[in-house]
Amino acid sequence: MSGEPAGPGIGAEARPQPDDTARFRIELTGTHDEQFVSFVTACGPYLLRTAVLLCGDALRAEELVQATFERTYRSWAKARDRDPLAYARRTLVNLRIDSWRRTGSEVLSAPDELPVTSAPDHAGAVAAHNVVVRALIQLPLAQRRVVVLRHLLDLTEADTAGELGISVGTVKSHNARGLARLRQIFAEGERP
Amino acid sequence: MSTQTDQFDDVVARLRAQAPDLPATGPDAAVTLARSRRRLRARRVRQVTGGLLGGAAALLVAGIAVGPVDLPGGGTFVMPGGYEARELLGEPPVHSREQMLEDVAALESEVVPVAEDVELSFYLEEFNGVIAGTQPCHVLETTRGTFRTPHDENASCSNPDENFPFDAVAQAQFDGIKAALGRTGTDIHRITDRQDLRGGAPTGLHFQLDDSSWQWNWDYVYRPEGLPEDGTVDGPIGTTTYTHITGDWWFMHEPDD
Repeated sequence: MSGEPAGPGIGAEARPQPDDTARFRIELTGTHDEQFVSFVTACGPYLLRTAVLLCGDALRAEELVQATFERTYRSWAKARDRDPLAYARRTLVNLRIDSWRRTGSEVLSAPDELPVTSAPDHAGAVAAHNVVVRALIQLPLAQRRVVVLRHLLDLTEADTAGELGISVGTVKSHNARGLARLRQIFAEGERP
Repeated sequence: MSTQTDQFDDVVARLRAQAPDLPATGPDAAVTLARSRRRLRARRVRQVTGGLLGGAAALLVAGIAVGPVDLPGGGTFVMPGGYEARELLGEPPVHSREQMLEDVAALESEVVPVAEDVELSFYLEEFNGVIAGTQPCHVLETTRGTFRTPHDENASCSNPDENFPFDAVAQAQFDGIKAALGRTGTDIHRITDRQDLRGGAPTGLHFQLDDSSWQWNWDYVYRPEGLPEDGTVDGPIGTTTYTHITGDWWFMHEPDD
């Protein structure tokens, strides 16, 4: 298994990617906290979209992103020196994605611990009702992670395997099963 | 030559065409920073407090230890304080080595075959937070799909937006696993197949032990493919430690995320 996952990133030597995530590569300057704020500003939308694709719920997605940033901040020196976006994304995809995996007591939050909301136009909520998001949420989590990383975040099979800590063969297996199931879900959705 | 994915080109194209774009904005960076700093401070305080409490408790009751506790592979330890105190301090549910051997033997004979037969990736019977008269949260995830107890505002299933009700096959599979767990006599209500779920951590079938620790998870782990030699693995949420019990079974503790 690879150490740090390859992928779009900012800061230190992120390698070229086929998608448009180059926009997230920014110069990290200033103090520790200033660097972190720049990172959150640049990469927040990318991570929020990733979270919505993975969990299908706007509020839960914001919670996941918040937890991701908290953990990235905790290990900022290490994340910054490698590839902070890859570090954060790997943290995000390996969190407990589905809200029902939390217990009832874990749902309770103090008012100041509620997730930081993003756009005032409820973009997250709109995205959560997207037809692709609704289809993805019907996949088992392992298949969903692979499909999102491979086809919506444009990671290679090897990078997806590295990010999830699984073999390339398992990536292929989950990918095929997930796409087959999605075809079925899309077909069911088109029936009158 | 066509590849495995070529046959799904239409599905991939649809995914890419219809998936939501990047949102215009993300979380408020200043608020996120403030919250991250606060959480980090709280974490440090908790670590220091936990260490002090542990030390104080050990000093206070050193002379009145309740007796030896066997941990697998670790010899015999004297654990001060009662069961609840140990859990709150981050100690595992206390089982003797004999109890662990008995538990994993029962899990291997009763539950593992059933889990493998249905290609289980997640099983949960969640009682936490359940109010009298409401049903616990049931979740079954196999290669057939995901099935959950319908959302109930008074129950512990926190899935307000989506319902994937059990069909007859899924219900029979859930009942089969529950019955198999019941036959083992263990207090286990959550099974996760980590074969595919976590980066950075070893794989295996995890049977989570019931506990009240806010700091750790404790699992019996069935892992026929073995483990790293030193028994520890650094993952995204901290170091996971494995202690061999017997055969293909380990006792694991990891940070509770």
